[in-house]
Amino acid sequence: MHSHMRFVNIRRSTIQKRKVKKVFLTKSNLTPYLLLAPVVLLLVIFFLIPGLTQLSLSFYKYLPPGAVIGKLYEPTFTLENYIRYFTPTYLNGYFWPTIRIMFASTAIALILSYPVAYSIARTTSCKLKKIFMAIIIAAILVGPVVRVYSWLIILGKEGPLNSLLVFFGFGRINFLGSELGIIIGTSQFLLAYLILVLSSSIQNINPACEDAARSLGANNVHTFLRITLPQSLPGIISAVVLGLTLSATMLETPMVLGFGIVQMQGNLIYNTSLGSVVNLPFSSAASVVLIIMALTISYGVSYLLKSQIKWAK
Amino acid sequence: MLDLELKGIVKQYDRLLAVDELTLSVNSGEFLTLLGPSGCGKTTVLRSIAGLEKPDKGEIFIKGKLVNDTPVYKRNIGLVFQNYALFPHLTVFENLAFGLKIRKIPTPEIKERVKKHLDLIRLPEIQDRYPHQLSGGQQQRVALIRSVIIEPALLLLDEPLSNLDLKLRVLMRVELTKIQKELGITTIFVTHDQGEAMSMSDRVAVMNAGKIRQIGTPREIYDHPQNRFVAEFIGESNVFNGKIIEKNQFETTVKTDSDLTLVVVNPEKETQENVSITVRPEAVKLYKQVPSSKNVAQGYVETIENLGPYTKYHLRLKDGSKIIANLSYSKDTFTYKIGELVFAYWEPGECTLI
Amino acid sequence: MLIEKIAKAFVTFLIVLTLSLLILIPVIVAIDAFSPTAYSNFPPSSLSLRWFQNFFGNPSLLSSLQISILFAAIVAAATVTIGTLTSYVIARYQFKGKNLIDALIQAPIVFPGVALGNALLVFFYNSGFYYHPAMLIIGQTIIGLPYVFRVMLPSFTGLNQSFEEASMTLGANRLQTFFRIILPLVKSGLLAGAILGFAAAFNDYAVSVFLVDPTIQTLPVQLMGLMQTGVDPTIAAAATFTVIIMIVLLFACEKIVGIDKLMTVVKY
Repeated sequence: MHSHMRFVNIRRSTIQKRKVKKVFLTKSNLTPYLLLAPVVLLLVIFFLIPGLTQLSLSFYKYLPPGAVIGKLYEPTFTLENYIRYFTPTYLNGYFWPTIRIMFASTAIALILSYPVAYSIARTTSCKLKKIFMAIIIAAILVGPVVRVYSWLIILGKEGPLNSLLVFFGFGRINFLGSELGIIIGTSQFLLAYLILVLSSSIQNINPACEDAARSLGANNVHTFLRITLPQSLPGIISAVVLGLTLSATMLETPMVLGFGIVQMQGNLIYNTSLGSVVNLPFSSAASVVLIIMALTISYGVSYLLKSQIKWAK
Repeated sequence: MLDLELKGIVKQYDRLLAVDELTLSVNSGEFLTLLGPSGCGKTTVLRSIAGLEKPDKGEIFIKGKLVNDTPVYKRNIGLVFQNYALFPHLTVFENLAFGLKIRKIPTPEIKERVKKHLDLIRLPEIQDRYPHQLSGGQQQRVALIRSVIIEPALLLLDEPLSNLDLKLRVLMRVELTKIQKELGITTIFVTHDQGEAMSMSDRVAVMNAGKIRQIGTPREIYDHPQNRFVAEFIGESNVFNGKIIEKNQFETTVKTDSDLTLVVVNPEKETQENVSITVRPEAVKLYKQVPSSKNVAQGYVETIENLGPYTKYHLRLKDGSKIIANLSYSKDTFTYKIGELVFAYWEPGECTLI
Repeated sequence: MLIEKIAKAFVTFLIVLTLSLLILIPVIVAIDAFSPTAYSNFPPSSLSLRWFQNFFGNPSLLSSLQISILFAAIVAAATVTIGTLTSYVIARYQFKGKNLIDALIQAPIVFPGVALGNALLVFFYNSGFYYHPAMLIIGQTIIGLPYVFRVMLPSFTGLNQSFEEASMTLGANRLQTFFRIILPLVKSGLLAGAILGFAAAFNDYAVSVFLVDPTIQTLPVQLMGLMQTGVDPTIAAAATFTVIIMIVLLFACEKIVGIDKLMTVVKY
């Protein structure tokens, strides 16, 4: 009897051990490579190579149209594109607005998302959860056009938001064509994504911890601040990274809500590639800047915040 | 006729040598169990026979044919998984028909075979149900006949009873053995549960650390363990270490580390000077006075366990070592109290030298 | 106690605000689509279908809609096929360079759509392979793939390997096992992937805008162009129509497999 019990416990850990060694029998070791060839080819040809081409193009010399027939750039190494970018015109016109909008909208979206994410994670009703999820996923699925057009209406001079402000005695604000308008539109855009990340992270927090805190005498506010919030920090960091990345790379929102007056980095790429003055090396440089900006800022912030949490994984 | 032969199987996983030069032969119609603790390599051996693992060295012969390079799906074996692995999206009928359809067996015959096998496990009505609608015991039986309906050369079972509760497990042991004998199919059974191994098998191979430590009938394994591992793994044993001080034609005398002089019947194999003697607790008898036996040890009763059909006495000897005696309980049996000084004794034929 | 009450009220307010923002956006577009006048008098005084008539009566818009739907369907099929094959290999095989391949597959998701569009434009132009339909489909596929992977990979890795092993011991080879056992069991991941792939391709603007030409446009590109000239309820009608398409897809997904699979698109 007694020895049987001992073996049951050991067996459980072996089952976990067995899950790790998932080696599939292959006659030849080429099979995985063959099956993966399509996707690798696709990504290498249409993603890696264009990306690298863009990188090299950013170091090429711009040729004004007509200087050399049929060529828009000259493949000689130059830093002129980057030098040109890092001047006040472009920095103030594109770089800093992007940064401001990134951080402002992520912050706002974070504050608005957290309560909803918490409710979803902690709700006991399956049906309610499904409804919440449906709303959030629908918000993502409908796409940027619907979103942007909606804000175009709402933020208009005669639009509902201004009407509301007038109703309460405030003056009309020119949302469209201002950074504020873009920030409002972007914050709403980020909501759905942040809610998804936060709710799945909060769900991983053991609810028994909160119960334990309450049983020890902490009220709800106290429990939240001392127990729940700290444990959700890794999720918050993921949400922040996602928010910064998504907002940095936006095109539709600033294009429509910015009215051409306020622009973001994405607009710069668009303008210099499809706009009136085409400068492909410059647009490539702008793309490189955007990629580096998005990646370094989000992961830099993530690293900074993670180092503050001693117990983070 | 040997339905299965394993010769020198070796399997290495990174730092772990799972199977170490394992050689085994199984006769046609035999029920052989691989018994051992977790991690001893028994499942690896089973999966190698099935073709789900590829041994690094060694040869596997099924019905005389070398199958090392034969893929799983051509080996014609039946494998029952621990979690049954019934296909959740197929009905019981479709699950059972799966292997037959692959073999292109005509539909009327499929229907007949399914009916026959469902009758065999006494569940004729469930063919249109889905696995999640069945109880654990029912799933287990369906998994069993799914593997035999294809009429394989071998039936392999990987701890199939572990997920059942105790009562059901005991019932299934009998059921399984009955079906196996009825079908006459060569069966390899893997388990860590001694009770299963002993009650179901024609032969048991006790494994540890990738090697077979002893192979034989359940009776042989139990009565005459050939090494310390088997002695301690199967049932309970009292083990005494010591040195041989005398040996004649029939018996060997050993002086143990705890200063006892024990006599044991000569073993079949040659032994070295340093040996161990094992004696089963049920062979140990107790007496208040000095008994007239060749093997006697004196000690205090330290603990008593009343286990229903028998009582387990834990005795502490003068030098601190322990002896366990299981005395079967009946109204006439004499009982001892904690703290009493008693004599434990047994005959030379009732212990084993290893 | 008071601080609790204030906190609770504040939090409830935030939740209501957030949910309203999420729901309100498509609703406002829908309301505008039904407004009777050209100039957006908000809220509209009565309902009218004239903008829908405008939308469906406009050959150029209709053609963009058809192209969007067609291309998105092709992209959905392509991404799901690629996704299935790749997820299966990653979930079941051990091979050198696995981590590299994994990184490659996930990379496009952090790559800005604008930058990708720009890069593809230059790439296609230089290569001489400058066919708009093909370019659009390829660009949208690259954009859609990472989302499809994120949904499909868990389906495959989460599938218990013993089903495949059981199938093979019963005599089915790898191909038969794949079609009879594996595919039916990962159906939910496939459907969710298809919907996400379709949506990503259908809704894409940032990449598509670089790869269209006046004769071959997608609906988002055309609508965004119209928006530059101001508010036009025809845009609202078109947008509302796409919302309806998406909601229908969402319902289909829920009915067939449940929508929790779609959640994994934003992994924590």
